[in-house]
Amino acid sequence: MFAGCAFLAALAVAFIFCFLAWFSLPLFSGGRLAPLFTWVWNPMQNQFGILPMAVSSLMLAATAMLGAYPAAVGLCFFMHGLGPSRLAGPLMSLVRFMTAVPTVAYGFVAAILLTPLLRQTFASGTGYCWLAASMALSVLILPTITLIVDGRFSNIAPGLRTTGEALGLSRSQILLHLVLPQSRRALIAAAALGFGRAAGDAVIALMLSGNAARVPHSPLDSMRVLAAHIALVLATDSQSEAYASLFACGLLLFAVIIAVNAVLRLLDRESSGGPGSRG
Amino acid sequence: MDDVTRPEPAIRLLDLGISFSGRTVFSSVSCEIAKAGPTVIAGRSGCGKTTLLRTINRLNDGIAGCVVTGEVVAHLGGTGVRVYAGDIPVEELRRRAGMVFQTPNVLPVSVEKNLLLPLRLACGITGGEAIRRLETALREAHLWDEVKDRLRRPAEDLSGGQRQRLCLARILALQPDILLLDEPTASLDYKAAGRIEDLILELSKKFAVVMVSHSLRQTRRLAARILIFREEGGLADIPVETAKNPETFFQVMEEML
Repeated sequence: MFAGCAFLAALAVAFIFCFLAWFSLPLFSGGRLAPLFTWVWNPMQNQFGILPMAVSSLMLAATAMLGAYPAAVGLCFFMHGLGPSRLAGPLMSLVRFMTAVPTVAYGFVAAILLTPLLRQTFASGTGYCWLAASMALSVLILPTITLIVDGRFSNIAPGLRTTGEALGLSRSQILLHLVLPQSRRALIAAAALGFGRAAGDAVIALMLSGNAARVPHSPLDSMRVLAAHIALVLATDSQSEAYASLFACGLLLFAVIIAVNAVLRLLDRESSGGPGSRG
Repeated sequence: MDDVTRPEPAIRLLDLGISFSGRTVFSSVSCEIAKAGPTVIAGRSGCGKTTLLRTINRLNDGIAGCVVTGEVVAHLGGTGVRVYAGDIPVEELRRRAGMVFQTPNVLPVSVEKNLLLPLRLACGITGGEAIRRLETALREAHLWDEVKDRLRRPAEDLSGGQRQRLCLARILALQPDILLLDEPTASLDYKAAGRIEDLILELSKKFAVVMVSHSLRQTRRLAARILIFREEGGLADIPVETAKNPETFFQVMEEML
């Protein structure tokens, strides 16, 4: 049954890829592709460069991960031994609840509370910027990462804790030196899923990043990511060259997420391969 | 024997009791356990033998709702320390009163890391000294010849008996004063169990050994002192001479349990 579900999921992903590739095919003929991989997006001047959006997507996903990943792993450490055990249950319930909150709710709350705060604190710009989007996106992907890492910790931590405590190790030593190295695959899977979710999210970026089609030079600068770009153009256009470029955006987004997954899997294989590597 | 010449007991249980979330497992247990042993604790399943063992090295502390009353005085590093009065950090207590469990709980790393990792983390010992301790401990556990060429192989690849001896070696490398053995042969076949029993007899000459066992045959073979955990509470001695005659021994055990 699980194999069947996995096959169906793989089939769906392959279908999406084929759909994107099919509709992108016209771009690959008649020199229509090269203009897309430029740095200026200005449809009025027939400039359809999507590179600022591609770079912004990577930057936003990376900074969101920078906030969320250590926080999620730290949260798992807290729930599995560093913090009082009575807080673990309520914290986990909170994390599960966070997964049920619609993305737009995070975006809305951040637009109301976070952007004015940034505007006042830094006295620069509108507050709708890379930093605002990054902070909200960190909160959005935090439960995804936490749930994956916690799943692994829950499986192995109780046994390793008893063993480690009987050997005279402290709780932090047990988590850091026994549990964490045995959770490598879960940590990699959490990174892949968290990054994928951050790179693919459109709503938070659309609501908070300011949507200027350029590469930001400061966290307080506005930016536009690929997913938000697709949503913005699609909302107003369905015929022009700009519309056609969206397929390249989709394909690029798809390729970025697959590439990140592939690199993480490669790292996993390299770190787990070879004799004695478990030691 | 005169009190002045009598050797300090390895462990003294003083009116010891433990409960979990209000449910009492045992109470008012008082007893002295000498270094000379092994001392075997027997009793019905669920009467609290393992809990008693884990009370000595405070391994129950992490369980929610655990309340311990009374005191344990352990003779560690040449001096008597009150375990629950905080005379010694809990990590050091557990290192000096090493515990081996029913099921061999090797760490999911290599054979050598099973010894080197606790040495580094618990004692801060690395390099040549750690390697020396590793070899000595593996020899003491009669495992060196079997694993010396596969120290970097996963410990999980060893047989059940080898894994249990590795767990013993891991404790020995930390140079404990007391060995707490919780049915260490329960998950092993007859032959592997026999090797562990030989080892326990040998180790009891150097360390204070307190062991929980469900096997009457094993108790008869190993025990220098037999303590029965009685259903109505408390520990009672069974004269070791009684154990020499199986029929009398089983009869006495039946009556006391």
